[in-house]
Amino acid sequence: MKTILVVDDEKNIRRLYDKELTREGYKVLVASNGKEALQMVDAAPTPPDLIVLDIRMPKMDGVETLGHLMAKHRKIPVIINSAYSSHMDNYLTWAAEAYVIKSSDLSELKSKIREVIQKYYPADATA
Amino acid sequence: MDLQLAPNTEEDVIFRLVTDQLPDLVFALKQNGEILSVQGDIQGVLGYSKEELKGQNFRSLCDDSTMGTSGLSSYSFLQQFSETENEERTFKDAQLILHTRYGEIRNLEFNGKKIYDPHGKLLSICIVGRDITLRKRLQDRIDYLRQLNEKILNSLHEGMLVLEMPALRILNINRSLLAAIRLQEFQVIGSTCEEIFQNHGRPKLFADMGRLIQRTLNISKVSHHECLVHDLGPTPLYLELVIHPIGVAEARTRQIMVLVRDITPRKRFEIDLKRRIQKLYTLNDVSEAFQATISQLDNLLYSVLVGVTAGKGLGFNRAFVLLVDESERRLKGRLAVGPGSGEEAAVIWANLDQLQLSLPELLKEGRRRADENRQVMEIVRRISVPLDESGHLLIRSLDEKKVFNIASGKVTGDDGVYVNPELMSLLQTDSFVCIPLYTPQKQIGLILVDNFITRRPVLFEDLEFLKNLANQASYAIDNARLYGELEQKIQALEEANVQLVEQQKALIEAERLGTIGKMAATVAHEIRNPLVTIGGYARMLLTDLSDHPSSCEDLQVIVDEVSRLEHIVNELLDYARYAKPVMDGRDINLLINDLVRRFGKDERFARHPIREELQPDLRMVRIDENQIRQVLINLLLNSAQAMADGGTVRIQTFTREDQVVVAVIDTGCGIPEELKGKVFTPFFTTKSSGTGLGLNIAAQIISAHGGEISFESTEGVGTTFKIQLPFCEQ
Repeated sequence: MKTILVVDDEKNIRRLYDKELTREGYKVLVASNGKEALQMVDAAPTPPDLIVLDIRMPKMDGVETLGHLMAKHRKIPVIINSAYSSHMDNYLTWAAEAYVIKSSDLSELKSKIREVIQKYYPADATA
Repeated sequence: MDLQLAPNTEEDVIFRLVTDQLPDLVFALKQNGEILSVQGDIQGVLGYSKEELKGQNFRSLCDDSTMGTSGLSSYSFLQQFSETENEERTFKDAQLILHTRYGEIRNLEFNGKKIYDPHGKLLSICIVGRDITLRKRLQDRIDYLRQLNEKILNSLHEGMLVLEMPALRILNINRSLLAAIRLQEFQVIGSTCEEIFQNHGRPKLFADMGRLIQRTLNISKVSHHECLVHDLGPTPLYLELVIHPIGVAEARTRQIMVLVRDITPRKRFEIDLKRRIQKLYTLNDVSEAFQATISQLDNLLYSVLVGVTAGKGLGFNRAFVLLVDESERRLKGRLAVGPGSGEEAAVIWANLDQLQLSLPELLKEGRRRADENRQVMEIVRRISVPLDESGHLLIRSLDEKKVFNIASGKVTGDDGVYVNPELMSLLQTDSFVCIPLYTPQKQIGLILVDNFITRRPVLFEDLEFLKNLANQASYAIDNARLYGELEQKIQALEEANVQLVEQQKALIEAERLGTIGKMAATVAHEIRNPLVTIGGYARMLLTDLSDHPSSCEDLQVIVDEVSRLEHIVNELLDYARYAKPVMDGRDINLLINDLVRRFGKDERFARHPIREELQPDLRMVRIDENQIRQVLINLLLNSAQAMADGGTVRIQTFTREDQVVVAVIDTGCGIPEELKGKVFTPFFTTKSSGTGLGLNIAAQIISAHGGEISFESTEGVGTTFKIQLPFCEQ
């Protein structure tokens, strides 16, 4: 079972993603901002397999968080999930595996997650 | 020998008295001239008494120094009566000049007879003299006047003729007229006009004159007539006849004096003047036509050519106009007027004669008869000479601003100018005139004219008129061209202005919306999260409550409405974003496959299946996948929405030159003509719900890709949108 860390400042979103992704068969961890997310990744005995990262967040936003993750946890794939498309132009976000605009229809996000996991953990998927 | 006088009887006395009163003088002379006796009023005539004269010699009374018109001296007069002469001889009406006692001169006319006695012996010479001094004076005066008259008449440059009515017999004719008709006086005097004409076969003038006089017979006043006579010289003469009735009132016969005046120079001048005036009218008419046709170059050129060829104009057989084409740097034939052959000319000219058109009418009429110029048009279209071919006759005329009059293959007055044989063979003539058209600023072209059919030589005067016409035509053509260019520019300006006004409106609208837009973007972001939440939970519930169909229907409403809101939010945010594309080499077919696979299931395409018609092995294109996807989604959605009753949306790919074309084709309602110009402007929409940004964003994206977006649409038939994207560089 793959672990996904959802980073979003909105409680309702975190809850929605938790429920939906759990249904999809993932273990879901949640963090309400970048700082909290980095602490969780650092503290965890096994880091999450994938991070779904919002951009606009208090305390530490998604772009800064991504920068830290790239420096320390280069191996964890990140999917940016934002209400804004404007950040697509920010070269830092290019380091992420994918950029999915937030939508009530989670099918695109879900398919991107599957795609990325398959790409990163091909052995597990076939197993 | 003494003359014996009769005795003094009473009878004798009376006789003497009577004879002494007689004006006639009766001299009895001896043969040597000695006066024997004198009878008559000798005192009254010569101032002498009878007694004084007796014994004197008759010759001493005579003045032989000034002989009379008879040329007779008193000696030769008396000699006539000598014995040796035939006795029967009498001398009649001999005029002698006698002196009076007072030295005056008297003219006397003498008749004489020799008087014999019964035995045949000469008694005396009897001469009877009559004083004709007065008569003689009158006679001299008359002679003088007659001579003077004759001199005057003969010195007259005009011809003069006196005719007697009613037969028109010629009484007098002066030398000028005789010389003119080349006849002698004796051949003419006494003949009638008709006889002269018939006998000599000429001049016809006499026949004409007869008729003229008969016609004006009843008119007693002086009348003037003009007639054209062909047989009085190498060239036809214009004569003026002044007919003067001079009949004396009481005379039975009337006489008529005719003055014949050669008015040829005046008449020629008059005709010339008339022709010049006619040509001036032509120029005027043509130049008016120029004014009227200023906006249409071809009509104007046509007017020029008709002006040159019309019989009422300059009357050339054919005319061609050639214009300078600045862009091609060539002199090119443009228009021509004239018949193709003699037969054709006969038909055309006969037609025109019948119609009797004025020049302005001709100008109008002619445009409808353009087909008559078919052959000359073919010729003129084949004339095309580069402007830098400076040795070519036409280019020389143009460069040197010179009129060339080419007769029999040579330039009149300038043998040095080369006349291109191919030009002559094309025109099928070796005689023509070329007149340059120019303004001080530029070269306009040339007019070529010729008398292809009639072979009439070109007159100097014609050249002058041509130059004049060409001058006017040059300015008119230049004006027409400028006018045409101006019109185009005005039109372009007007169009630009309309666009500007529209863009300005759009700009103002955009600016207004820009502020609202920024606000809207902020609001949209804030709305998106709650939308995601609402929609997300609703979808979740939809799966959870799958066994409660009525609840599911309600939830579906929420899901659909949220989707709609999200779509609006996306469009607004996309517009606000306006990102630079992040390019990468991609196979657009794969992108389309993916898109169709995912969107094909979307409820918005439930009744609009998407059919892929993709060209395999397409070259890669450099694109921003996300942006192009957005464009294609937009186009596909538009197509689906255009077909309210459902229908297939086709998406094609193919290669054209160095580009990949993606076409999205529907069979929907189409775009109305009046809206076609606005399709790509922002906030343009025909849908009840929509921001009107979709196609504007699409256009911006494609343009940022260095590609093009276009569409073809027919109302009620359908619309095809095409995107052209450049190949990815290898």
